[in-house]
Amino acid sequence: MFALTRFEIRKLTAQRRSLAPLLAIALMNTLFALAFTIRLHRAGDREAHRAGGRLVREFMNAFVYTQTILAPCVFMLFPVILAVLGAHLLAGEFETGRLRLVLCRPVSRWQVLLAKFSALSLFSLAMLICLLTVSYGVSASLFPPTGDVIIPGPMYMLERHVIIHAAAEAWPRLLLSYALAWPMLMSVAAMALMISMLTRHFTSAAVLTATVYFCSYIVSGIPLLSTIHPFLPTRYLPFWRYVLLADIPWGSLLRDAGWTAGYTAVFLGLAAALFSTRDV
Amino acid sequence: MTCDPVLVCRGVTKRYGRHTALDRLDLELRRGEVVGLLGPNGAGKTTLIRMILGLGFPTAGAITVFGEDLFRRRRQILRQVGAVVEAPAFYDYLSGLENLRRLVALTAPVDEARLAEGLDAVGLTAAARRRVGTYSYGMKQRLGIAQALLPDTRLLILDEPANGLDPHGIAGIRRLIRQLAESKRMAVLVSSHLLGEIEQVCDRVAILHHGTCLAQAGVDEIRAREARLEVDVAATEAALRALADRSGATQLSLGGESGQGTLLYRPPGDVPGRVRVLAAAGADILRVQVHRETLEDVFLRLTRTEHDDVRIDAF
Repeated sequence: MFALTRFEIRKLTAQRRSLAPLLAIALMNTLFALAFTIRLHRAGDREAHRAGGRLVREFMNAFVYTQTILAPCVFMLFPVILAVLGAHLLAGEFETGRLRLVLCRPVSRWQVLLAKFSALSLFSLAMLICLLTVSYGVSASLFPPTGDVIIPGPMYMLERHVIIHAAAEAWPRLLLSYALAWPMLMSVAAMALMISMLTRHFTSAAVLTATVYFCSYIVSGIPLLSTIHPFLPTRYLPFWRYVLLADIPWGSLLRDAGWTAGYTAVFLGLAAALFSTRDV
Repeated sequence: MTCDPVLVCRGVTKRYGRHTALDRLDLELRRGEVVGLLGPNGAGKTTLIRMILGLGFPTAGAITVFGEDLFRRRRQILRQVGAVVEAPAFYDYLSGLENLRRLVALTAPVDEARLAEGLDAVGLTAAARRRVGTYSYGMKQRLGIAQALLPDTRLLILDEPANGLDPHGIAGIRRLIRQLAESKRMAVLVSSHLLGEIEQVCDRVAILHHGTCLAQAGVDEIRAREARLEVDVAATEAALRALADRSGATQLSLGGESGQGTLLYRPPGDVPGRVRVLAAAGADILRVQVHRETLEDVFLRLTRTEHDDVRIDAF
């Protein structure tokens, strides 16, 4: 199992296309941070004197930037990357016949699946660490390194409009939100593996995983379909956002974490069931 | 040759919906033996190989490897099985050596010296550190064979191993297979379209067609089974019938012209002896001919098919 997991990790790290997401994170942060800097330092810019502009000018610091960049990455960018990598690792190998080469060895299909899931989970962790370090590093060089943190609630699907954390408590909350985003990404990886086993075709698996994920969010925003909302995984996945509330609702956080773990187990279980009965 | 059964397939059947890819196939492979799987495209060769490796699941039948049920003890069995199935699909972005190291490590870790030996056995030492993406098809095929031999293979399964190889490579594979079977007593199952290669390297062959095994015997036995002696004789019909009875002919064909016929002996048996018997009986012998079929003749005759079977490259 250890050799299998190491092999899967090696497959991810040996390919330039797998390192592209990490490069994209670095590049994206640099561009965003530079854009903010230019905006904030342009003298006489009328935009800067508007309410929003003033707010940004007063509250912008490395903590705010690092916290804010987590939302678009974890809600959109990382799930897409994981959909592609998950499809590549399983459906792609199914398609090219590489999976046969591995399965001619004394390894069980369960082990192969778990090794791929482990590799994707570790890659998710690497993306989060990369995001945390690069976004803090870049923003700290351009803005004040610490300060109070302003949280725009709707951006995180929170009911409160604006939440402000004092600098002293911002740092642990920031770290906790990054840490709790990891299980969410692991669940998306498990979904990608399950859909890979359903389609056994790289493009279909990648597109279908991204479609299911985003459609689940869209459906959860349609009141007319409220009866199915409790069954949507995306209702529970972003439980990391609860740590941004002034009083962390630990009960809700643990409940959603439990649902996320359950969905992950179901995705993996279905993937394993499909994998163990399919001819390769 | 010892009689240790390495692989036993009994009544192996595989159906995909209404299509039967393999129909009650029986096959045995013994230690130190090389068995060839022959068959046109779509005959079921690769399907059978996949079943033997546990990559596919038979609809019916049983497969035993090293005396153990394959599907109950698959992982233990595969520790001693090496295989190349269909096209060698390696990880293009890794070097040949790294592909080999990582794949072999899934069975058991081996030291670098043994990996180097494996690469050397298939002539890839100089390209060991090159990315597999830069390899030719033949080099990938050879790398496939190298990985199939490591770490401690007792049953080697090669699906079309000569594909993409140049004549040097084909001769090398042939030598390697014979050497493995003879010196290491390895059991080898080879599927191929190259009948000449199979004829030279295999002890026995199984000819598959539409999922059914049409013939399974030693290469010499199959050829001998189809050999025949034809003797054209000038005589009256009554005399020809008497000659046929006396000489033990299998068949008598009367010629178009009166007073001439052909005596057929299958198998040919003692040719000079038969001719002596006919001469002693007073026959006027016009022609004596021994027909010996090649494996290709047998294969083509057994697998003759309608041209509308698009899977077979017959045109």
